[in-house]
Amino acid sequence: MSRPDSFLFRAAFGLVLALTTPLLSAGQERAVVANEIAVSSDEASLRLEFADGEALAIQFQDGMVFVDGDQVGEYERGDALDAAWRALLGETLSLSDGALAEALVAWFPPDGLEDNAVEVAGALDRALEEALTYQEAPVEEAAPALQDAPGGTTVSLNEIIRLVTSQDRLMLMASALDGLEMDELELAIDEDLVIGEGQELDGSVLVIGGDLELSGTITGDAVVVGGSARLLDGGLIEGDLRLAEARLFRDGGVVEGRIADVDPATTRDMIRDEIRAEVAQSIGSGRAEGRDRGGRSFLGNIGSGIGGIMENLVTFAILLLVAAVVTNFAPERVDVIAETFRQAPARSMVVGVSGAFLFLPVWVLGIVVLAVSIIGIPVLIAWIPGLPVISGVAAALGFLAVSRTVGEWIADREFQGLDWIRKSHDFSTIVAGIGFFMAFPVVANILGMGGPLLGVFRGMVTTLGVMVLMAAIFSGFGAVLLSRGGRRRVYADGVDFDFDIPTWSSRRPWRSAWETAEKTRRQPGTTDNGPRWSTDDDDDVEAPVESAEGTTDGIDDEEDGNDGNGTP
Amino acid sequence: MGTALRRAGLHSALALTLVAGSALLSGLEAQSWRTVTNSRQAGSEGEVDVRIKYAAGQFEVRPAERGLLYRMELTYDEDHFDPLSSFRNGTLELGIDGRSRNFDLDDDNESRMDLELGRGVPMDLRMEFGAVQADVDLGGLSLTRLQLTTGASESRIDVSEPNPEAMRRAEFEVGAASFTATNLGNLNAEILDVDAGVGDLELEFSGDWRRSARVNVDMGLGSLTLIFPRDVGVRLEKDTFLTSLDADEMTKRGDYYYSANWESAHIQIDVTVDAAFGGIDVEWVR
Repeated sequence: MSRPDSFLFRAAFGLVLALTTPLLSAGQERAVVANEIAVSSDEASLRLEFADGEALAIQFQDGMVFVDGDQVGEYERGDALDAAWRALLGETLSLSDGALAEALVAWFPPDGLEDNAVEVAGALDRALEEALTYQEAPVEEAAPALQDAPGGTTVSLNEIIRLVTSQDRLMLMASALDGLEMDELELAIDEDLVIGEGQELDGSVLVIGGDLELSGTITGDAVVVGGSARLLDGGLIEGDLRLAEARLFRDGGVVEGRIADVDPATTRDMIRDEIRAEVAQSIGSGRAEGRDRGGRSFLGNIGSGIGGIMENLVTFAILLLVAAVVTNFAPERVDVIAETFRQAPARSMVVGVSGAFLFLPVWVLGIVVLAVSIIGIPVLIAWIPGLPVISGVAAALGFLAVSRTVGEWIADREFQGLDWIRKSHDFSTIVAGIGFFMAFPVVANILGMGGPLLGVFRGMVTTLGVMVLMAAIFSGFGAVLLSRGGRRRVYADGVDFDFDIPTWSSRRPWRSAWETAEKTRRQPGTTDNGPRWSTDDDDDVEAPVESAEGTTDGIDDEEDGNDGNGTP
Repeated sequence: MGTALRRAGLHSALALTLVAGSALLSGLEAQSWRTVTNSRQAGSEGEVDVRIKYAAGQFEVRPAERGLLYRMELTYDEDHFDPLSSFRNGTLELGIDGRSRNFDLDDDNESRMDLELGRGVPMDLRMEFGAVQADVDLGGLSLTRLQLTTGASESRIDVSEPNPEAMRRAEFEVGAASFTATNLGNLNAEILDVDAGVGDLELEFSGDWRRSARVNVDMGLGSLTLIFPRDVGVRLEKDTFLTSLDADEMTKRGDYYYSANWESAHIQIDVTVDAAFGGIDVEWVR
């Protein structure tokens, strides 16, 4: 790691670990009064509550790592950091209070983490140790000095924490310490260090936020950050003297190495430049990644749309299957239900909605009534599954009947390419009707392939589709109820549709006409070429215009009273 | 609206038309399981109001060691449920709450809540279950009051050790469920109210009885089994409609059924049963 921030982190982290580990290991874990560990596929979080009301929350959530709500880094699901964190949570699941605190303090980032993960892990480790270790008593009272030195040097944990939490100081320190050997280091933070005449300090000196007053000898380097260095007569620095935002007062004294003024502005600029470059690089790669993601997203939309359409087709196929069964085995009932809907659509809708809303109360009431009557118990067994099944079948039957009506409406429109929809053929009209209802989700899925741009239209089509479908289902259900499942023709026969409604409800006249025409065409001696139709559409109600044998109006002569030659 | 929701809208509508076939059409949504482990040390708080709400799944309660207020391990589908976990002003709320009423009980059966409640902490304990299989051991807990409300659940309550606190009232409100309570003598309750809707109810009154008690059972439809230890005196009054009573070893005098030792027993349990349809069995254990 050559980047200053990496060095900075390593320096700070190493410093903190080196200086605090002995202190922390001798410390006592803080009492944890409550803890919460939450683990799911995209989350692994820990929350601790201490006796003094303070809390610590560490959260791995959706690729981001938070400590007390502040993001401290990122992770990828399943990477080494995530695995290590989850392992820790797994180990501590069954622990509480002291044992929990001990286990958490003992946690150490695993080896083999990548640079960024090392930083995040370090932050977590620090957060845990800071939160879980008593801090009330200043460490300096318990541990007078890290190293015997002239002038005395004390380092408290609070000072270290202040140090590592001050970004400016860390940067200064990182710049000032860059390249120095620090095997033996005398450290003074926020206080002066005095090395008097005749005294010798074996090693290097780091003074942060204080003054260095030197009349004796320093065998290594001297680094002063944010204070001043007073080099007095007799003072000797055998290594370098580095000043970071520090002033030098010389009154004699010798520096055998270099005297370097570490310019924090330069360092900051350098770091900023690197960060900028890094960010630019990340953005560049992010853009590239975004393009990739965009591609994937686009493909994802396409895939999702195709998947949706496939589902629609499966739905369509199942509905067709049901339609085939129904039209084959109960055509008359579908006929009556469809007629009922056609003649009384509003009534069907109202009855259907009411029926749907009454379903649950009726069902429950039935259960209660049957349950309290001894003879009703056997019926109850059939009632509980029976009513929902019957209602479902009724809704399905009604929906198919409505679909057929819609199909006939489509047939009447004579759309180009849809001439295969024949009113004479129940199944084709039902297919058309179901196709009409299924068109909404299909269109919605197609629009969904366009991504967010078409999302609004997709939503509109979806909403419209649901409304239309629900209207069809409720109306069909109502028609089933009104027609008593297709057995009662009260509403179906409400209008003399043979003549009054020539298009939608002229199935029988049309059939009669067709049958008559067919009969005529097949009669021996018929010359012509069979009945001549006004259009090519078999469904045209106007049917034959004229034939050699004479039907003229498309209505069976026996039915309308004609004699077959056009005379009454 | 999300893709799944949009699709679900149409699918749910189609489901009305095809009762069985539509099941194939609705996409199976992946469930997001979340496991939460909570614990809290008992502090200097006095009596704690414990409110447990659990919508669906498996539920187990057992006593914890002293010094711990509670420890909970909860596994639930975070798409359908919200966890409850708070301790404020002497009130502890735990459990999960359903976000909607529309969830598949079969799928949610993998939800699980294991709860340990600390001994030695006086508790006003109230539990509310939905569609739950509950196994509750309240042995040794210091209960000042107990209220249990169940929906369509299968609940088993055991008071395996005596309650050191005197309890004024314990209430069980049981919906359509199977409900078994054992060692109720350990509850140390003065009044036990049981309000049951439909289901099988078994109440077993063994335990360390410290004082006489009153038991009120109000049952709609189902069977009620009352099991008493022989050393307590029992008086049973019933107000029933189309309900049979099988009260071995009890003698009817006036409106009451008495055990043979009613007058002489140190502990007397006065039972009132109000039932509509079903049967009542009285059994005896040593």
